[in-house]
Amino acid sequence: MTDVAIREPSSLRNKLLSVWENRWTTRLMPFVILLLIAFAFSLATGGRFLASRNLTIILNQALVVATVATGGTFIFATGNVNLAMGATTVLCETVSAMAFLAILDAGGSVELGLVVMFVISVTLAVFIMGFSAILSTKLNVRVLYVTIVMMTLLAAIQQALLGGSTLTIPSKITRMLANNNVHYIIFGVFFAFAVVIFHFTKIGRTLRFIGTNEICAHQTGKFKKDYLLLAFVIGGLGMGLGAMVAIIRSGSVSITTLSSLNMDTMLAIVLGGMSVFGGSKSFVYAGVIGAVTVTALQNGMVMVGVDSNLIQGVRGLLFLLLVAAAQKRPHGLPAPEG
Amino acid sequence: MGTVMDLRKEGFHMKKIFALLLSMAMILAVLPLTSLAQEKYIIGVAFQNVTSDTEIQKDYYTNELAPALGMEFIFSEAIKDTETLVTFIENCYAKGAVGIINYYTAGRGRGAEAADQYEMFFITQASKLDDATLDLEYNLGNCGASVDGMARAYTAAMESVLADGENHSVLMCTTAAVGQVAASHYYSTQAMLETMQNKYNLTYSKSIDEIINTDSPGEVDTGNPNIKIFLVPGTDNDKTLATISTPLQSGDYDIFVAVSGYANYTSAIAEVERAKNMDIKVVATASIEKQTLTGFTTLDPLGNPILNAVILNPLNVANAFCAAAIYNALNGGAEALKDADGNAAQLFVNPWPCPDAETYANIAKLDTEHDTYVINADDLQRLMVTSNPDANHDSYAEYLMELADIDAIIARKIK
Repeated sequence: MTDVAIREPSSLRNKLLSVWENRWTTRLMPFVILLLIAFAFSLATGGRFLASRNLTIILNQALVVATVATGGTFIFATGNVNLAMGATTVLCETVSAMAFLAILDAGGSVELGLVVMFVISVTLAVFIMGFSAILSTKLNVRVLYVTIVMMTLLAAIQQALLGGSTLTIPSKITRMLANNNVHYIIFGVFFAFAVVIFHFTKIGRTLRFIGTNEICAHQTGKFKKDYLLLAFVIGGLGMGLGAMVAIIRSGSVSITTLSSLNMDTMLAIVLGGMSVFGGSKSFVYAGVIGAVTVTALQNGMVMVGVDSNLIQGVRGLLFLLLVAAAQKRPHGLPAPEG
Repeated sequence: MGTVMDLRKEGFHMKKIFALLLSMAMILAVLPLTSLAQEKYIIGVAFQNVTSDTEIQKDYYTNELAPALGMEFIFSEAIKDTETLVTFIENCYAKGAVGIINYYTAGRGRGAEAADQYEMFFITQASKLDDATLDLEYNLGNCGASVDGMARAYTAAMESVLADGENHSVLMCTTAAVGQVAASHYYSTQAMLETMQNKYNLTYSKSIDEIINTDSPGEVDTGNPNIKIFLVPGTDNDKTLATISTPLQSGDYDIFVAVSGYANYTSAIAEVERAKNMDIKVVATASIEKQTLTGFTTLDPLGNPILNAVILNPLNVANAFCAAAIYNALNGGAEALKDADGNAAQLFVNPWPCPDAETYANIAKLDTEHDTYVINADDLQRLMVTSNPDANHDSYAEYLMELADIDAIIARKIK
């Protein structure tokens, strides 16, 4: 009787719960949150928040994090956390900018410089990420630890290369690239590539399978080391391209450039609705939605006049609450699904 | 068991709803903060660092300049890279800002372009113009520390700490001197290296320009084994702190000089003084604030003052000129502020040398309230084109020269 009495009222809740945990609810929740934020700030600013020019500003501000995070979702999908995404991106930005300026100094053409800059950035990022994956699988060290070491090492290399100086790409060049929408093209092409690979090929399915249950994946012939390398290489591609987008946007590199990129990228991925444990509920657009959400929050808070001292605090608290709302905590100890 | 699971799920469900409701409540809670004071000019202030100085400056902007100029100021968080500066400018534009006062010198070129793109007037607190953006319509130029004034002040400060005739070795934090990212830092370092060279007949193995422009921290070859000089470039205070610890702990350096603030390094210096039983003299740039007085009056483990000499940066003087310049530009006076060639202007603020606590005690009475502000709302009339139609580049430069005389200011402001 007691059992029935307790079960009876919970049946409605169970139905609600099943809706809540429906895969479409999980997928749509980040969009709903973004829309609610947009709606709230639009009300507060008399519609100026949704003005097309402001939306362009938000998109531009989100682009670097969105590009890096799109690559990062491949790594997160396997249930691994990469802490070297920011350091890799900034080192690629530094080395490629140095190469570009060296070519200009030597009398080379801008076109040659741009091609070399692009190739160096992407190649170096892919190499660093590939090397990290190999280190992890060959030495059997957890990805988290390898990337902590890489983050420190890459930051030290950047410090040695730059010291206290600032590299500046001539503004007429960055303006020319921006006017030709090169940053949008880079992001658009990479995002389309990532969507296809992640959602419509065996590679994406396997990466999510590994994140869901690594042992099961291994027993069905999906070897982690091969796919982890692949995930890191695609992640590296995103970082190399993110470095290019960053150069087009700001045109300068110093030791403090994009110092919070890694944290921003991880927050974007999580806010975008991806589980920190990766697996079947991983979506490649999570990084993009998350990056836009973070940027919209920052933009909106400035527009409504939140004090700069409070912005970080409000943002941190909102992240905490939104993550609490969006993430399913495992019933047992933190572990991959299954 | 099923009941327990139901309750657990129910709790889980409630947690999510509660978290979402809280998130929305927080967003809605900030809505009433919206300031719809459309009558005021909205100006963004992009700070490079957020320290105790910053709060003093925010008070001045908010309480003295805002009502006098009909402005509302939006303050940034600490801006550490160009990307963050551009983002701040864009967000200010979205709020309806019409001007930016920028402190992040390394990003002044890109910042000027971003502001120009959004038709916002832009002025930087720096000592060297960015040549590529001189002719931008909305770039008003710079108002920064006088490079000559800073060089003279650091020369005097170095001469005072070297005056005992003993051999001294110096650890110099040169901050943004490399490539003249901050020209005042470059010329201050140059002045100190020349002072050391003249005092001890040093023969540097490289030119002073090459020494200053070396990216990495390291010891300078002085040609005299008894005189050591160690240069630490870089704007990141935490990294600088980590870098100076090894040379400091060697006990070889008994003078510490920073071309910017010193507060971050006091603990590290005191630790070495205690461990090595030595006095390390400190020379740095400071502003009028409690911490500077504390520096002069607090004794180190050997009974000497923590701070031996400072070059005082008249923070609010530059702030007043920058805000007034934007005000004039918004009231049709943009062209009058340009230099003789019609380009963005470079205005210089002279520092106030302060060799001891006694001198500082007088200066510290300034900049605390309306009556003691070096430039208060009444003085501001001289800078505003609406009350003084003759306000232009030359009259600004002339006023700034007058403000170099700290004794005259004290006589006028402190009754």
